[in-house]
Amino acid sequence: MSILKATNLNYSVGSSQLIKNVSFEVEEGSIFSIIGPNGAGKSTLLSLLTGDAKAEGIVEIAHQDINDWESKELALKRAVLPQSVSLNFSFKVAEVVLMGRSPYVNGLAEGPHDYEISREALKIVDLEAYWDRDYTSLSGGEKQRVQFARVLVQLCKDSFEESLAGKILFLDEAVANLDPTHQHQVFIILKRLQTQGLTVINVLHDLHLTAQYSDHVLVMKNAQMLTCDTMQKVMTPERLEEIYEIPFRVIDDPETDWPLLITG
Amino acid sequence: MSTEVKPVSKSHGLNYGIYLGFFSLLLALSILASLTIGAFAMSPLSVLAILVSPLASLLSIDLSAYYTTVEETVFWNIRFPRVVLGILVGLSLAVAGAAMQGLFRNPLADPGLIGVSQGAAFAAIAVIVLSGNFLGIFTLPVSAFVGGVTTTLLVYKLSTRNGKTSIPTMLLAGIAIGTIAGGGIGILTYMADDGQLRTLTFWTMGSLASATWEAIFSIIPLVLIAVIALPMHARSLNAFLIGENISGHLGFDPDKTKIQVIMLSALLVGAAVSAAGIIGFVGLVVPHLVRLLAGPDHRIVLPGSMILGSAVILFADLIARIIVIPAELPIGIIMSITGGPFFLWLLMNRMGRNTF
Repeated sequence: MSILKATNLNYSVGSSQLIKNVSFEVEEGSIFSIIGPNGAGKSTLLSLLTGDAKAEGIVEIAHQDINDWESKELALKRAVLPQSVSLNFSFKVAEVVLMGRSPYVNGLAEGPHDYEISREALKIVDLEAYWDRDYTSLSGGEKQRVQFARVLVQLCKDSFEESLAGKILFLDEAVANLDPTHQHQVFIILKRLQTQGLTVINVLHDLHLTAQYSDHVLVMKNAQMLTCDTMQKVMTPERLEEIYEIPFRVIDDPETDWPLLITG
Repeated sequence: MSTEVKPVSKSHGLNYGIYLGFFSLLLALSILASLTIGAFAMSPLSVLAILVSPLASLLSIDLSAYYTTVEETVFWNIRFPRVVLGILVGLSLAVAGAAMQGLFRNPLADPGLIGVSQGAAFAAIAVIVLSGNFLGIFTLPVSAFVGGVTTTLLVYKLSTRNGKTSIPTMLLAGIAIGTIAGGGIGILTYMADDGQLRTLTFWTMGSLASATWEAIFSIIPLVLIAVIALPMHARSLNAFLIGENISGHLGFDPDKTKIQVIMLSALLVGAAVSAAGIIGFVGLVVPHLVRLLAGPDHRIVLPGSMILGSAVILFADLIARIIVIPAELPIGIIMSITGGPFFLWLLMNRMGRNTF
């Protein structure tokens, strides 16, 4: 069953067309990755799917046109983790995470449960001790993990074990700044949330992460969709050479069955 | 599962109530000082007696033994309206500054610094010189509001691309627009008659000296609307600080927040400028002090700026009144010579840390 459907998306800024005639569907509960060379239109495509930019064509989330969603209703269904966040004001780490609770807060202040789940989220991303720290004093990678905690508490209303069926998390190269330990930590958490029904749509550069964690892969090149298929069908030497224009070798890892990619 | 839940400790371990109490105490002190100190000194006791005398006379208690008729006249016609106006102007400029800083996601936005006050003053002066009044006592505040909205929108459009405000562009665009408005005011000065000319000088310097009940009543409705409506945007302004798009992802409506905050801050700047002329730096200094103490959450920054802004204006006005007795300085001058260095200090500080 598809949870997101894009039909004939086109998007231009000035005279340059950044997205040309892209159509695809995302299956509910899958991890869906968008890959492609620099400047191919990956992040632009994602911004059309999150509603940050308005496309020509139709984006449907849960069978309803994205333009017909109330902002507040949509916030209960999907969260977005951008590549980086610039914040010039000295919020505490806790306050940044708590902002993820916004869709659940009616009135002026967060309640005890909002604090509890935010603290748990920081524990999940290994930053429990940072609760009271000044967010602006953190390193780039730490900030990104705080932002990850923020989207976790937006997706999970009552607990991190609840059903996430019908919910979507968008990530825009969100792990690019993280060390390998925390890159994998993020994806291990995403894999777990996937078993609870979460759909993940992410823009990725790292082909190994793509191969390891994606169910489906959409390839963008020159503002167009080259293909959209299962991970195994995209991760072939022929496809990868076509995408990146350098030679690739693909070896199946005998232990995990994941394709291992070797360039050159 | 963690069972122990500690509320997020606000800056320095104190909570917001304590800060609001502290600011209120400063405001009470500034009110008391403003009512008693001046070219004509009054004791706190007589001030208190005059203040409660209308109420007391309803209960047939006569307090007139505690004050002279001269004191009574000075109090009701000069001191008290000036304090009320000071409170309204201070809270308006300070909270408008705080809201604009949230909107621009940048702590250097000040209505005086980015040309909004000048735009408001220009529009009001144009109406005085060119067409006279068309809305009775609301003519000035309303035209100043229109000038303020136009300038804010212009500066925002010029300095913001894809939800990111460029600080240098904002400051430079603000300077340019302020200069253009200043030039316009200059042209109007040539066209003005003698009576108008006196008003014009007052506008450009900023002063509470012409505090009248009429001026107060003409701006009270505007200030009240904004004072009630602005804090309702506190949470969406917080989200705005992480990013315009992100505030949308979190379920707020960034476009609605933007337009309403622009309108409400322009309303406040228009009200303040129409009653007291251009007073700079209040909107910059006050929210910064509140953030320094209590953190950047708008749920404390907005109300805190209102209270502290009133106190700062009253203290500045007190200095303006007594520093060259029997004459007095325009309050705008006091704010400029104290706020200017503060602004420079902020800039230098920012070069080192890049955060606020």
